Amino acid sequence: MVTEAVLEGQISSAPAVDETALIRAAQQGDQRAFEDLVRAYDRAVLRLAMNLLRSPEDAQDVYQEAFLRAYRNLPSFRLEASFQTWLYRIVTNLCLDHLRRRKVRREERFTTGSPEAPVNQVENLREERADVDPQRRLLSKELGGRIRQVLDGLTARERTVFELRHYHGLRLKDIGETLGTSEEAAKNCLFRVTQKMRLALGDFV
Amino acid sequence: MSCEWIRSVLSLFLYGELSFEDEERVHGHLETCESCRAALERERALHAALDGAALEPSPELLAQCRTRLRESLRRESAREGWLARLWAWSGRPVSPALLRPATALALVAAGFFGARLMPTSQPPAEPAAPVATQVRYLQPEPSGGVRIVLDETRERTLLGSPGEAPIQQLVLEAAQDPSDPGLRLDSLDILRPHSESPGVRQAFLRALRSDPNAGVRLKAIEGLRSYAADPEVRSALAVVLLSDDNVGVRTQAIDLLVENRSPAVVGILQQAIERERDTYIRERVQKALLEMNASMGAF
Repeated sequence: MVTEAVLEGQISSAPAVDETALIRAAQQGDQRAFEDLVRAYDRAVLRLAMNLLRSPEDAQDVYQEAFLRAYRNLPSFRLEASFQTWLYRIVTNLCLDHLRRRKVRREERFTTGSPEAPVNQVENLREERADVDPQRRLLSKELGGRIRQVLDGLTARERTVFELRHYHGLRLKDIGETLGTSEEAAKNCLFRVTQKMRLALGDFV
Repeated sequence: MSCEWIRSVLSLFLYGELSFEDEERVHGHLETCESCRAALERERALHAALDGAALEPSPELLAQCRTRLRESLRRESAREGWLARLWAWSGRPVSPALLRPATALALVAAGFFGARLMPTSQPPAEPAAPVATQVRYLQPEPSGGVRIVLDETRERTLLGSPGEAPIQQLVLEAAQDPSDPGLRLDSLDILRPHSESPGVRQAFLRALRSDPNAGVRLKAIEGLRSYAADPEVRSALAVVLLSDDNVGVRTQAIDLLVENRSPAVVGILQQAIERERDTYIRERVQKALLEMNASMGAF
């Protein structure tokens, strides 16, 4: 095991075994080591992509592409860096590309006047997972709806910072590194998000 | 330093992302300001509400992703394997090290998710045929021939009831797989109807005490529901109530602990009321103590 992909709450960033040894082995062609690395992170990667893109289909594409890129570029990965941050950088870059393409498509549809069919895939996914998540059952529908509204209203960068900090437990320093920006910029971004959350949800809690 | 500033940074405070100096300021202020302490509790509640708002990929979606990845890796490894063979036959020296990545891909592609333990509808009778054969190493021979070393990976499927010992043993092992909380959660779910088995009950207790994943711990509590009166289970629930960092898990623990109204839990409840911050759990503990005619605190 390299790290725990946690279903609820956060992703632990502390490797349980020597991750460096696993990566080194995978770089030298040890298939079990590569398998361990992928299995340790793949649920978290899919979850990150799904929460950023709010679309299971796009999240699947990102999952595929992220691990293929990780495999192809693993030989050039520097062992002194954090594998999680490196992998998350691949995933978030792919997600941001998707969001940019989606925005362009939306604008194109808007200029040609064709309607955009609302697809509430997010709602379906919530229902699918309700049976294994007693905590979620406790959330009122109204509060859940309001949270989704706030999340949908965030910019792609804000949503990424919030997702990585709140649900994946990354430190702001690592988030800055993941997004190619400074810790301070990530902190300002998180601060903005929390202000928006409090403003929109303060009367619910 | 104003209350307004304190409240604006409470969220970063909870994330542990304030500078040392700012964190000290917040701590100092909270000691003397009751309304900011209340604001901190509201902030905590907001964080807890957000905890439950994340989308969780379904096991089916994850399985689809893994299948697609396996196919992509297989295609990629086939391409790399072909290139490697071309190099070998072209007479250029080929180091086995250069072939290792292709080998890794091949094995990953073939066996990556093949060894999953979930029962399927496949009959178990015959040993499965090799699902993949991959060239691991090629060496041109002086005679003009070639020496080929192959890697083969087999996929094996088992079908049976989780009540049967060999199947149950595999599911119990899967319930402890440290790399995959989803697999652990599914395993405990499958084992739930078999909690009369001591081995299964121990698996639930182990997960409740030490699984790092809150969802798995919740599932363990579900599995132990019929054994709330058992002293070992009660003791594990008490530890959870007093020390688990997840409100949902503590909530389930208190609900189960007070079901039996056992005098043995009074001391635990009295300790819990002193340290518990969650309103629901506090009220639940208070109500239980009242119903048992016990005092609210330990003296």
